[in-house]
Amino acid sequence: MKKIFLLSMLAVTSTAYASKARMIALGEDQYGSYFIEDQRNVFLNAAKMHSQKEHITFEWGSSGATPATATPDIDTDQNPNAEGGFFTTAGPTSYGIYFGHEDNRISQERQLAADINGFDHNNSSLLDNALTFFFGGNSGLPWGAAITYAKSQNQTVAATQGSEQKLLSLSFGAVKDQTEINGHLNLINEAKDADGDEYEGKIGLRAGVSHNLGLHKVFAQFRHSGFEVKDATSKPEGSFNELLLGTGREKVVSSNVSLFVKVQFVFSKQKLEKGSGAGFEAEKDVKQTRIPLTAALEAKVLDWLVLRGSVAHNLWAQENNSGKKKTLANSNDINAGASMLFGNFTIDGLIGTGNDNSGNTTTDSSNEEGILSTDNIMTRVSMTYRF
Amino acid sequence: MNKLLTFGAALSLLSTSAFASKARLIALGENQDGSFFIEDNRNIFLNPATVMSNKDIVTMEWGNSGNQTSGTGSSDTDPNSEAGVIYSTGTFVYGLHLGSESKAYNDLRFGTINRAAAVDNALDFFVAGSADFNWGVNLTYSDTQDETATATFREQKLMTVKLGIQKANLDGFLHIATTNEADDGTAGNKFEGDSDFKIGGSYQMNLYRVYGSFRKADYKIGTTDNKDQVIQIGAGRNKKINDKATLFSKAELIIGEEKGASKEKSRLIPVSVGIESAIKPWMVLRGSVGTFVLSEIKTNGQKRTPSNSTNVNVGASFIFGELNIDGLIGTGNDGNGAGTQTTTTAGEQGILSTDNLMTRIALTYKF
Repeated sequence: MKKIFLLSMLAVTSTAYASKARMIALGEDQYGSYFIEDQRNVFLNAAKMHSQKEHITFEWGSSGATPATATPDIDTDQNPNAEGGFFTTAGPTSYGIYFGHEDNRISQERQLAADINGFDHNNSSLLDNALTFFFGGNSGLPWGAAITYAKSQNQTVAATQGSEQKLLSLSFGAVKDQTEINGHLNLINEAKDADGDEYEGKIGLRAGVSHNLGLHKVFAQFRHSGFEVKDATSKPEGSFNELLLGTGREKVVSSNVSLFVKVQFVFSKQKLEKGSGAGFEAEKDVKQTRIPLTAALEAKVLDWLVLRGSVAHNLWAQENNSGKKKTLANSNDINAGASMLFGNFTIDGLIGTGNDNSGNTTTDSSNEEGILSTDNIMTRVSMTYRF
Repeated sequence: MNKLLTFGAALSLLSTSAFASKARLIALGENQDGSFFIEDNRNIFLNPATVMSNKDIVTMEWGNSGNQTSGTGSSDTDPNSEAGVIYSTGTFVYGLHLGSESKAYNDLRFGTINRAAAVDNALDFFVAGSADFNWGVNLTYSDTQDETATATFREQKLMTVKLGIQKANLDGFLHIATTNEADDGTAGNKFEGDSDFKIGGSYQMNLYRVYGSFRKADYKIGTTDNKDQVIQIGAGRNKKINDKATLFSKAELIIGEEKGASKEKSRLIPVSVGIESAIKPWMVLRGSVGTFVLSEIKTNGQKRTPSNSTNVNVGASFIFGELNIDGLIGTGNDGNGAGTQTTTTAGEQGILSTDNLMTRIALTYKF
């Protein structure tokens, strides 16, 4: 009885978490996890809104990408973009609205286009002003759907004249007993740069499934995106494919501590055609195979404080770039974070990310220097209120 | 029991709108000069009749001395100082506020003019009373000049009258700028305000407060005539989630048109949600996220969308008896808070800084 009570307490506690920072600190990516419960999972499987309903969350950060700058300014640990949303229920249905979920993966796919055809992947063609609606039902079979719409344009500045981008995507998910499925489809994904070059997304999809075997969850995901870039002289095509197979386990070590272990097999392939115009880069055919192993720990060390950390290491990591092989270097990565619990509020963040008492430097790689800074105690901070 | 009593006292403080700061309104996604649907002492600048529900209070906004620099003016990262007192005696309530250098009137001037000729040394007088309804009047006066050298020449003058009423679920206001003139000494920069008024009101309709306003400003910059007008309609809701927390949500439609040296038309639809909750007897946390949806700005026929419009603001209040200290949090990225940032956007880097825990601080005492 005691164990059941404690486990239920843990379950209650875990529903308060809803942050990129927590996901990253536990070695997951910011778009959700197949085996760790967190509100971020709604971006992986929209049906997850039923287990994390009635809350409001804010990811602190700057307003977003700065238009017309040459370097793509996507959301990073060092320079996070602001986003947030609100989820609630009405009878058996749940719904939510989320502002600013500017998925890096969409922007990065557009960036691939820049590699082949002089497509100006400046910030004007990045995903911007994204608005996501969630809707789902929970009568017997919990399901959920999400629609994301983002449109931006700028005709007024010489450097960005004519640039515009648009995204319309649909995500869905369902949970049946121990099995969860999710899918994602880009219905519209297009961008135009200042020179009039056009990026046109073709088929863009993601499909995933997970099954709880008891001690372990096994999961698989396939992601594909295709595109073409049109300019005056050519129309080269590109594609990105990724297959992910893995298994993860959450082990409750004690009433306040959970251990997480995950091993994955990840195969990805980028294929980029060569354009015909001057200055176009050579074609690309890049394959990557990785087997990352991740171990993480999360512990409630005080009534108001939760600490967590993870270590990830590639057991195997090789890249084949048009027949030339290399091992992916420096694969060891440690992330740490904390949550401060104030009643229904939870404030999450990463810790150990600053090397100059700032928590932020101009280069991404120089941030993690093994320093516990009390000046800027947490970075990539988020705040969640659970009703 | 003692704890319960203390917490209860904090909550009663929450419910009696002791909050009075730009930081609070900004953290909840509102305009620093008043909200149509969130109770705050700053609302006296939107509708002077709200003085009646915000009396016997002293407020101080920490910051530098004022606008007399060529920077970006008062901002979250470089706020101007201002302060005021509202005092009730008999059936009337009086108020004096120092240094409220209105953004609404400054923004008209700064199409071309140097910030040196911004509104400065502003004085606001308030008087309000209650008959069958609450009423209030706010007079603003600002008059500064410097003729000592050509390089530093400047002069400006602003006089406004604001009237407001409140009755049951309905309120209304009228703002009139009787004088709005500025000159920074640069040929062609002289600003001469002509007619400038704003009229608006709100009505509590079941769960929502619906509101609207219309502003029309005619003015001349150099020899160029300008005509601006803005229509704003919206609805906001305060939802009590429990005895400690309130959820705020709003949606607005703002249609603007500017005719002058250039022509601009805008259609903006800001939406936002915010939360405010007492988490300790001595501490309140709040935050909001907002964005513009389906919005468009057309300048001389060229279209653009508001870029990077998603914005998160977070703040806190520390409550020491009748004294509140409000501020924004998460605004500093280099261990020095937002004040050292050179641009307003550089401050928000998702960092919880314990060196400079809060920025844009305000102090309020209710007596």
